[in-house]
Amino acid sequence: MKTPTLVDRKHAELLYKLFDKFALDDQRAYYIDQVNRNRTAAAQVNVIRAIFAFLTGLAAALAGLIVLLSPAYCVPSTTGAELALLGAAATDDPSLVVTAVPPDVDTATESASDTVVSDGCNLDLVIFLLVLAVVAPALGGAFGTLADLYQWDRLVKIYELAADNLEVADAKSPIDSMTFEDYRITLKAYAEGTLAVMRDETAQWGQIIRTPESIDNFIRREQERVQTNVGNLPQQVQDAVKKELDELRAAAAATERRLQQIRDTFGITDVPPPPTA
Amino acid sequence: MPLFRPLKPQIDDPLIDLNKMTAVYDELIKDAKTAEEKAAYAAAFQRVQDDIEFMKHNLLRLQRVRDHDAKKNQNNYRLYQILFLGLAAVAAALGSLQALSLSSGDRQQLAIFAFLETLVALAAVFLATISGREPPLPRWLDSRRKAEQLRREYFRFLLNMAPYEDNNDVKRRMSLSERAANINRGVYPDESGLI
Repeated sequence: MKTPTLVDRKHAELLYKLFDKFALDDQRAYYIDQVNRNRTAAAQVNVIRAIFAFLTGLAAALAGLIVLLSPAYCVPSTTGAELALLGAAATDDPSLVVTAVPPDVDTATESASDTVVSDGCNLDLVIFLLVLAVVAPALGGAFGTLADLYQWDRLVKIYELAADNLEVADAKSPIDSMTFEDYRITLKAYAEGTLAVMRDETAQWGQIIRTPESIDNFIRREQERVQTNVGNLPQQVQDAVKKELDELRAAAAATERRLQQIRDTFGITDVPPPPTA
Repeated sequence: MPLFRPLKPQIDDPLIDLNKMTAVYDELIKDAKTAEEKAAYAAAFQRVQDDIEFMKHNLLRLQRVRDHDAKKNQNNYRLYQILFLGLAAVAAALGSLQALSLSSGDRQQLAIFAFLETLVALAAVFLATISGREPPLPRWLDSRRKAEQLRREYFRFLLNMAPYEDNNDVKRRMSLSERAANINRGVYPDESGLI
């Protein structure tokens, strides 16, 4: 079967129209869409991270302020020490070291929880702020890692560059007034240029996809933690397990010796040798 | 809401929609001035359709499967990473709360936070174990690379570009089948400098 490729001008024109619409235009629309989507995602995550950073600072500062303005007896010494650390350490103010209980309360009978509900105290709010100051940076950090995972900013650059390069390829489009030979050569150069842009974009994209280092470190750390916390049995348990195993080994060896005696007695030779321990 | 399980691949789903392709052809026919021109367009259109039909089994099928595989592994990879990320955030928060309870001297609270942190560590190790059997990242990148190269090969064949310039259609089609099968098994023929 012989069918000449690009038999005539009309064939070339049809191919140009099809490639232009279904390869180049589709690819251009894809790049523009990806640039917009990645840019929006990067901006959204950036705002979320900024909000969490802001909340962290605000919670710590507010907790410090409340401690400073509250009557000293409101705050148990332990919580006061934490607040002093979190909220007002920078001030080096020794007055932040507060007493555990109101001066008029009998320390022998009053528990710390009773001081939480004392009139004029804001301990619930302070504890909430403390927790917020602890949890917010963790969540902010998670969104930072999410940005590392999706690489939105770098993808925006890659797709923008690819879209620009696609315009260069598009500029080589054949035009109607060309002779068939020129049209054919230009069409090939134009299509080859477009495919080259697609190929380069895929190669660059493949290079930036990496697992964020922080996630790798987290997995390694947690594996070590499990080894430390769960892997180490108490010495008593380890000794008991060892004793059981030794007894089992001894019993197996005794059984094997007995079997060997029976084999020797009856001259059995076609039994496979026992597996070595 | 992202779909973490992509839809099954539609093997017959063409890269070029037939209706849209016909619309392009109709426009060309409308502009054609003579019956000869119309006949030339019709013949060209038929050749393109034949090529597309041929590629359905020899290339498109492989491309669709690879594309689906890439999407599936991409979603799996991101799902695992997001779960790790969530666990890391919880672990960080628990660690900080543990430090707070350490300074407050509340042993009961400290023990609970330590237990929760161990649970997080166990969950992380569990996830690492199940995600490590068939790591989705290399499978995603590999399948995506194959799918994209097969897609480019589709247009290369359609436009009779090198190495499909041969006037012998049998050779041309055999060359496509061979190259597509090679790409599918990870042997990538040279694409650069074909012009």
